[in-house]
Amino acid sequence: MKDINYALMLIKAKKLDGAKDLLEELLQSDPQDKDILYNLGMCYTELDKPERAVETLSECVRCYPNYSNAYVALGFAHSRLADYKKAKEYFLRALEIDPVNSYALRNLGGIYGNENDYEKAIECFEKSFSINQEDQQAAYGLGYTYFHIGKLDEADKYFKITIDLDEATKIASLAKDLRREIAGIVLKSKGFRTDAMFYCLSAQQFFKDKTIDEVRQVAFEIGLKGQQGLDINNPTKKYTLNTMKGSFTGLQLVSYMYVGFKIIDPNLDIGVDLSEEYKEALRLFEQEGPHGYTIH
Amino acid sequence: MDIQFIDPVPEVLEEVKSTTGKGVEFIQKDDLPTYAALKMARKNMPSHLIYYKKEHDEIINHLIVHECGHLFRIFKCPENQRLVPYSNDQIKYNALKKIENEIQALTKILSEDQIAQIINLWYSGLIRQVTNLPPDIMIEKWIYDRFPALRPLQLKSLNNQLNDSVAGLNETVRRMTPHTILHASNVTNYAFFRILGFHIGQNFIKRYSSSHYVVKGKELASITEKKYTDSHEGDNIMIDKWAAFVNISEWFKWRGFEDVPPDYGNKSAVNNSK
Repeated sequence: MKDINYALMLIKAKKLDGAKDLLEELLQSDPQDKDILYNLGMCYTELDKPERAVETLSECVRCYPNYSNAYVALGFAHSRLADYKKAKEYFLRALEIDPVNSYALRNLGGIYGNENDYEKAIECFEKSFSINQEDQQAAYGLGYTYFHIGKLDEADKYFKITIDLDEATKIASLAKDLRREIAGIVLKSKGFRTDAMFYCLSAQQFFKDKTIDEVRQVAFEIGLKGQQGLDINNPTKKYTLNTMKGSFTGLQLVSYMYVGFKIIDPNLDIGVDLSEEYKEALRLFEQEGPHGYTIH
Repeated sequence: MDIQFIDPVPEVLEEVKSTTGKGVEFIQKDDLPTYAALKMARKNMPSHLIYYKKEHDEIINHLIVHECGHLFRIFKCPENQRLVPYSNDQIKYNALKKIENEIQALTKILSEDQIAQIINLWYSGLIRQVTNLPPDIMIEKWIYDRFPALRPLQLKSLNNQLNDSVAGLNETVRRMTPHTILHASNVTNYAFFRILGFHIGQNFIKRYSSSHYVVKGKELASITEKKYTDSHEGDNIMIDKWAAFVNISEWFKWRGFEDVPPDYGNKSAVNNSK
C-alpha cells in the first residue's frame, strides 16, 4: 500500500523525482485528494515543469477554493512561468483567505521587489518574517531588498540571519557573497585606507621569502575563512590561522589574501578592491632600503 | 577461517544477484562492532560487501541471510524512492544539545573525558537501533516463514541479541546512561522482542517483565503490528514513527540511497551504514 507520508519523506529528503512518481501513482486512486494535488503541484514546480504545476494546482484550488497554501503554490508556479501578474493575483487571493499566510507574504514581497516597489516589498517581507522567523527566504528577501535601496546595515543584518538559519543552503551562500560585497562597499566608502596599505606592505614583506606554495597555502586559508564571513570593518574582532602565527583583524587578513593572490595570479579578482592600497604598498616596498622605507 | 555456507545461503546469494544485479563480496574484518555488517552496492560499486569476523560460528549463516533481507527490501523499491538515514556533526550536535542536562548530570559519576569517549557510542548506537530494528522485525519474520532450516540458528542469533539488549536493564548501565537514550533503547528493544517472540513462539520478554519499559514497549509494539506496510517505504515510515515515539526524531535525517559520500565504496571503511 502506497502512503502519502512516504512522498512527504521523499520531498523532505529532496528526492523530488521519486516523490513526483509516487504522488502521480497515488493520484490515480484518489484524483481529488487535497494533499496529493498540492504536493504534486509543488514537485512539478521544483522539477521545472511549471505548466503541469499550474494544471495540478488549478485542480486543487477548484476542489478546495479556501485552501490558502494552494493559491500560494499556484502563484509560485506562475512566477516560474514569468507570469508575475497572475502570480500576484494568486498571492493576494491566498492573503484574502489567510491574511497571515507567511509564504504568500514572502512571495508577494518578491513580486513587489521585481516591480521595484521596495517599500511594499519590505513591508511584506517584514510581516512574513515576523510570522515565521525560521523562514530563510524571507530573511534573504529582506536583506536583498535593503541592499537594493542602499540600507547596507539592515541588509547585512538580514543576510547574517539568513546564514545563521542554515549555513548549508544555496541561499546562505548567496547571502555570504552579498555580505562580502557590502563589506567591500563599506570599506571603499571610507576612501583610501592607509591601514589596508600598511597591511599590504606587511604582507609583501611576509611573503618575500616564501615559496609560491607557501603563499598559496596562506591565501587559500584566508579565502576559506572568508567563506564563513570575515568582518573587515571591525578592528576589534580577531582571527587566527594555521598557516600564520598571531591573531589578525579581518581587514589585515583580506589584505594578506589580496597580496597573496596578486603573487599567485595578478589577474585574479578576489572580490574586494584594494588596488590603490596595494599599488601604494608596492611602491613603498620597492623603495624599502636596508634601514626601512620612507613615506613621502 | 572461511565461511562454511549452509543451505539456503547459496540460494539466497544467487537471489541477491538476480534481484539487485550485483553479487556479494565477503570481507574479513576483525574490528567490527557487530557480528557482521553490510555495505549495499551503489551504482559505482561492483558488488555488495559483507564484512565478518574471522572468529565466527555457524550463526554467520543466519546473519548473512538477514543482511540479504535488507538488500531485497531496498532493491525492490523504485530507485528514485530509496531513502537511507544519515547523520552528521551538525545533526549530532543539535541532538546532544537537547539532552545536555542529562549528560551534565552524569559528570557526578563519570569524568568529562569518559563521557566524551562514550558519547559517540550512545548516539550512533541508538540511531543504529532505531533505524534497524523495524526492518529487522520484518526480515526475521520472513526468515522464519521462508527458511525453516535456518530456525535453530535464527533462535541462537536472536538469543545472543537479547542477551546484549537486556544489559540495558542493568543498574550500572542505568546509572551511567542518559535517560533519553536508555529509555529509547529499552522501549524499542522490548517492542522488537515482543513482536518477534509472538511470531516465532518464544517468550523473549520475560526478563523485561518487572521493568517499567513494558507499558511503552507494548504500546510501540501494538502501533508497529497495526501500521506496518511490508516494504522499504513501509520500513522508513515505521522508523520515523519509532523515532518520534521515543523522542529522537531530530537525531537523524533521510537522504537518497545514492547520495552517499564519494568514499562510501572504500572497502576498508565500515561505519555500519547500509
